[in-house]
Amino acid sequence: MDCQACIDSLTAFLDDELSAPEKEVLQTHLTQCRPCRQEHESLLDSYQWVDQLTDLEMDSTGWTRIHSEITHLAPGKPAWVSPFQFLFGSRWIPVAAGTLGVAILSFFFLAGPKAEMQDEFQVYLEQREQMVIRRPPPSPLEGIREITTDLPNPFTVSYDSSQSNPFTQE
Amino acid sequence: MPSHLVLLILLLSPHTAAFSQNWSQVRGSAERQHEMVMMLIRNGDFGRVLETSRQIFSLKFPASQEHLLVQEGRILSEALAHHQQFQIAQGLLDQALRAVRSNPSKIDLFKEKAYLFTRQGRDKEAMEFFERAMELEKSSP
Repeated sequence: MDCQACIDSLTAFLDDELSAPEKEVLQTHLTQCRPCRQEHESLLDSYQWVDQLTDLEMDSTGWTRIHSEITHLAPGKPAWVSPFQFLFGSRWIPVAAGTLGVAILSFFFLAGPKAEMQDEFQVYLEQREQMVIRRPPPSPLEGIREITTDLPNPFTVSYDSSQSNPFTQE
Repeated sequence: MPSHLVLLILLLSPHTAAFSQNWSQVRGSAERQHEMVMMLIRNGDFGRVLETSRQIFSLKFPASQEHLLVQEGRILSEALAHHQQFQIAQGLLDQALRAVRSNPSKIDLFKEKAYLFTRQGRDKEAMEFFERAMELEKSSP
């Protein structure tokens, strides 16, 4: 057995958790290795010292008294907090203030562009209202062609005067 | 080098001509369908408006002519709104929205839907569509 294995097994040995062959190997090593033996003796002293301690018994009112002291113990607050103490006394106030702040910011970030968009829409509507789509009154040259509506047909090819027949007399 | 250029022009010219012919056909179909939709609206036959207008918005419009679809959506929805047919007008603008691909076209149609909702007194929906238009406008380069 090497020293590291011995040291690792010492606690189990003192707790009587080793098997008989393991105990025998360990004890053999302890008789041969002085540092390990010293470690064993030190640990054994600690065990014996702990065994000598007597358990402290808490009286029935002890826990009640401790609990009472903890709950009534006011935490220390910095001096600058005291003027604002009335604000921090209730937890809902900072929460409400935060919510209000978010709401105000949201209003500026969301309603601002929205209002701008509505203005643009109003401008567009005014322009669109003026965009009256009406067909020009038919010229006498259109002859027998039936005019079904005063709205123009966008697919009808219209020729401007530059493309008219140059040989036609006015 | 000039001979290559001539060759390139000769190679491309049939495609250009075919495109022009194709677009002419598409435009002609759209023109006729438009007149049909307007006639339905004028006659108060609103139940057939959407199935007729769908034929306009399912036509393959070249990207350069997409603005005509927006204009069509605007004109037809205007005519429907004039007859208090707001729900059909919104459905028609939805057809137009599905037909267009470019962001400027979508922006215009979103705004048109917003305008239509305002006329219905549905301000919340109007604002929602206007916001969508503005978001798309901001995200567009």
